[in-house]
Amino acid sequence: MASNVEILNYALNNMRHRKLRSWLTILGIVIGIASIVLLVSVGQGLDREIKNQLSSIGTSYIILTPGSPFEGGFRFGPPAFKGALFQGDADAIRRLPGVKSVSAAVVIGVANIQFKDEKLSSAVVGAEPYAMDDFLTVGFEKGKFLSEGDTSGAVLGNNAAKTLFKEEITYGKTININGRDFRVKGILKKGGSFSSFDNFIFIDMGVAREIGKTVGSKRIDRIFVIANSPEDVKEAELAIQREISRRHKVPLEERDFSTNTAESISKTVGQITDLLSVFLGLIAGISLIVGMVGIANAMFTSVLERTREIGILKAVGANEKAITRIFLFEAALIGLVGGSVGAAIGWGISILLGALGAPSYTSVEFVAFCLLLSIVVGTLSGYFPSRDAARLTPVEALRFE
Amino acid sequence: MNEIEVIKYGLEGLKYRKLRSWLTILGVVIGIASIVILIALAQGLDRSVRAQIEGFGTNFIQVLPGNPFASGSFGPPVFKGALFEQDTDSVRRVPGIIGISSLVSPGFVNFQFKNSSYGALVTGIEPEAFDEYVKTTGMESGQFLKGTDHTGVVLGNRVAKTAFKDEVETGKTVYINDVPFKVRGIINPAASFDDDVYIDKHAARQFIADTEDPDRIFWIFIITEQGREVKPIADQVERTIARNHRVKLEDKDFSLMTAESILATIGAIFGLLSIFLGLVAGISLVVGSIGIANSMYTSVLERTREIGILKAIGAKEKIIIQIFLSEAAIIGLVGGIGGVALGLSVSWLFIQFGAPSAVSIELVIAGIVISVIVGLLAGYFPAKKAAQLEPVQALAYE
Repeated sequence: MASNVEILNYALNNMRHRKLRSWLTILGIVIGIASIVLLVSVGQGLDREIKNQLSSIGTSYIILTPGSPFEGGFRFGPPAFKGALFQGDADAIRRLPGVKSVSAAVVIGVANIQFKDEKLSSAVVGAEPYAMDDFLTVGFEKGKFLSEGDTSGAVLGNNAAKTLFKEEITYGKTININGRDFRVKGILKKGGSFSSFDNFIFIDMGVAREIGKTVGSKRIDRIFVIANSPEDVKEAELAIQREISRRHKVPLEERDFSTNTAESISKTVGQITDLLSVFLGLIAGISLIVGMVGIANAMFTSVLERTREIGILKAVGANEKAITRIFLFEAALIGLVGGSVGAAIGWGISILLGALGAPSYTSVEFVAFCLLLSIVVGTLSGYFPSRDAARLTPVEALRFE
Repeated sequence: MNEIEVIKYGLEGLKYRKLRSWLTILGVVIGIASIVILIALAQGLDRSVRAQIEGFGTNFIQVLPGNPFASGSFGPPVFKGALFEQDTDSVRRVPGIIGISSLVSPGFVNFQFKNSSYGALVTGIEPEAFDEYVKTTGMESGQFLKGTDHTGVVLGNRVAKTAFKDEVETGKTVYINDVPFKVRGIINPAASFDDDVYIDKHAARQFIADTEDPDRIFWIFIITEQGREVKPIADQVERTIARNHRVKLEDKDFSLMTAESILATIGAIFGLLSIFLGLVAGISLVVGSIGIANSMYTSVLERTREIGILKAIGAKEKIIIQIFLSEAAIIGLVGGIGGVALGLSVSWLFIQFGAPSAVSIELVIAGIVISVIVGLLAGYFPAKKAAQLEPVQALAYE
């Protein structure tokens, strides 16, 4: 037999190896949990970013668009708006309770715009002024919205003024739309890439009809409604849906127009980003499954190596339950340590991403969920190895070399 | 020890630690399978979009004002720059062009049939060129616009069938911004035409009120001779229009789209998607490789005596490294084969359920090669450790 020093040496060596094995097993869980935390954080960050920007236009608006809300689905080509809205609809909404102000609007899809010598094509919105000041909560960098009857003024979104043309269009300058001159009476503040009126050009609705060649038409493309307060939105929306359905002589469930509110838009956005988060989380979750296999493997090896130990434990009276608990505890611990380190790393990278300007948001709830998940994952993967250990018969286990 | 013996020895080792080996392999299987499945999905999407685009035909060129892809933010598209009838006329005689049309569009206009209406994107075209383009798809009923028909309209299939409460048939009257048009024909179902409404470009002008620029058009559509290479024709069109606009090619205020350029853009997008999905799925392969390393370290530990004997009878470090590396590589290889097989099966299931999924032979080979490489990398440190054991100490190990 070797000397004591050598035995100690071998024992340490053995432990070092087992330590290495435990750390490698934990590392697998670390990577899995970190990637789940990180990817879900990016999905959640995107969600917050979009919702933040959407909320910059306030929460008391209702926008009506022609077209049934029940037709969805992916399609190629331009969107089709079934149904139509009429000036009379906008006037009827004005009389509904809970409604503060209403603006009807028409959209010229492709208008020819000229500033100095440069020509380009963009959409132009012709709007009644009434509700627009309330609606454009993003605020004005300079000037204000058109006053009623101002047929020669234009209001520009921030991008439309700053970057649309080579030269910046400033307050008071003149632009030409479909052959008619308009003086810039207001420039909006910058919204964000997801909201945004940044690219919009507003003119008076009556003039828009003239230059869009729809004079005499009663049809409109949008109705902007501002409710008395954010609390009134829901009731006002329902009243509007009932009233317009009645006017269009269609049942409420088959209405040929849609109403969008801050809540409904944010809900739609939430659905999409949640789907993204779940998808990314699931793909990252695959690595957690691989990590689980790793735990199971390490535990099986550990049971094998400690067969004699288990035999002794059983010989001195430990029952199956006690043995199971020893190994389950070890597996859960691996899971918890891996989960904690993984969540910390994932959270750290997420904060780093956020600091670099990328959308990323980690909620405490999700981190807590991941910690719980890692314990569950550890316990689950420890189940079969611990059962194997518990079922060893003492005599055979003691004989094991 | 020759190569075969080395591999045999590796296999022996594996057999003894069967469960552990299988679990280690399982880790690799899951990793490779998820990579294969996700990349196959991205490639399947790419392929189905490509097929749709190629279905439109590849012998066309579109000239658009500005660069519609440069806007970079939500909201309505902005087309910087402008095109004119003179631009169309200047390229009419470019060799290889068999049809060319200026297009004018008032954007969304009100489109009405009986009592129901919707916002339609109406396009004003030159009938002769479009007749040629629509020919391959064919008309479901009636015929395409002819000559100087200023009161006729041709509808895409979906517009005719589903846009209004009642189905629109050839011969019926519809109203565009309250101006009556007679339906001359309805195009067969085809993704490229389903939502389109075509009228003569002169008729479309009445909906556009630009008094200053009567020659301004929205875009140019060109059909090239079948079987002739599109690129040189597109290049000549590009040069000619740039000359008209007195701009250099680099800062041109218009853009050209060909089937080739659209496909290149789509390919780039789906390429990125493939890489992203592959990388995310690749995380599980990293975890799998840690599993390999772990199982190899354990294996080295368990066989310390064996390694001592091998070294005592003269095995060189290189041989020991080869033994353990081949074991790791075998784990990788088996895992890779299993992973590819699992990935193929799941992809096949996806296809049965109608999801786009395309597994290329390159992907299969890459999956297996990557898993072998991962195995070798994961086995490297354990193998080096085994090789560096001192024979005497290793033999004394219990």
